[in-house]
Amino acid sequence: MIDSVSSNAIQQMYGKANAAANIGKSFIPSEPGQGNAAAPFSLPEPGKTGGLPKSFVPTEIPNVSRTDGSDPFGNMIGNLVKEVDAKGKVAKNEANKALLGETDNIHQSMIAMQESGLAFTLLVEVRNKLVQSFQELMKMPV
Amino acid sequence: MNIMPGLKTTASALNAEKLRMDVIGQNIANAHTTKGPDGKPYARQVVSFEAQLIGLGRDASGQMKTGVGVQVKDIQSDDTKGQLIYNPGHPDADEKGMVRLPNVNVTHEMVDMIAASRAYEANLQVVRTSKQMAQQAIRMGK
Repeated sequence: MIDSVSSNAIQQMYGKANAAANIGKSFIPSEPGQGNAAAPFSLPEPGKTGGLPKSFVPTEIPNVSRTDGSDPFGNMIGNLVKEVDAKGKVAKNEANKALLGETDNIHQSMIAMQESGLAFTLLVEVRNKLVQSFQELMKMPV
Repeated sequence: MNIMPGLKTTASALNAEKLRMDVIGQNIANAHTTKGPDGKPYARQVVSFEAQLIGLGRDASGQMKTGVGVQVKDIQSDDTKGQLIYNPGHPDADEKGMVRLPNVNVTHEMVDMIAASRAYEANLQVVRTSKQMAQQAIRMGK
């Protein structure tokens, strides 16, 4: 399950990276003296540019946000958090049962606690990786 | 989310070994019981295990089927006759002064106990290794 999740995540990140590259392309100003007709973009209506030089107005909006409002990457992280939370609850229940003497199976409690700890470590690692990639982007010279 | 593989199976095996240990304890405790509730000397109890599901082929989603563990199939009585000794002063002695001892051989029970303890240990090692595998995967990015 993790394999498929990570490959999905990589595809998502790859898609976002592509979109980011497109943003850079659309911000390239047209050469002075060439005239608007030679510019490779179709410029928006005059008056909507807010006083910016026309050549700096991005004309091509990259399709980063989805029109149907779904957010697969966010959903994936949300699901991961939910699953880790569920494991934590199971571990808490099992530990409670062992402490209250409702069960004789210490190993069940120990296994549940180990599993929940490991799932949490995985979540923290994913979060660290995301923060790290955000920081890499922020370090990019503009 | 199954981050630690083989845990359900192992937990069922740990349960089964615990029950086996219970029965061995019962046998040793009754090694000198000459009269049970049924009027006969105690008969040694033997645990037999069975696999819960033998995984063969694939399920509907194309995943390989795996077994879900082991369970205690039955606890049977060992029907062999115990030792007959001459002890006329014993409350359970017959008219000839002979007493039928239970068929428990403490040495055998000790050996069974070692086997149960080692089997429990082996299953714990499965849990440990399973956890280590997941931890190593999480450490992959470091």
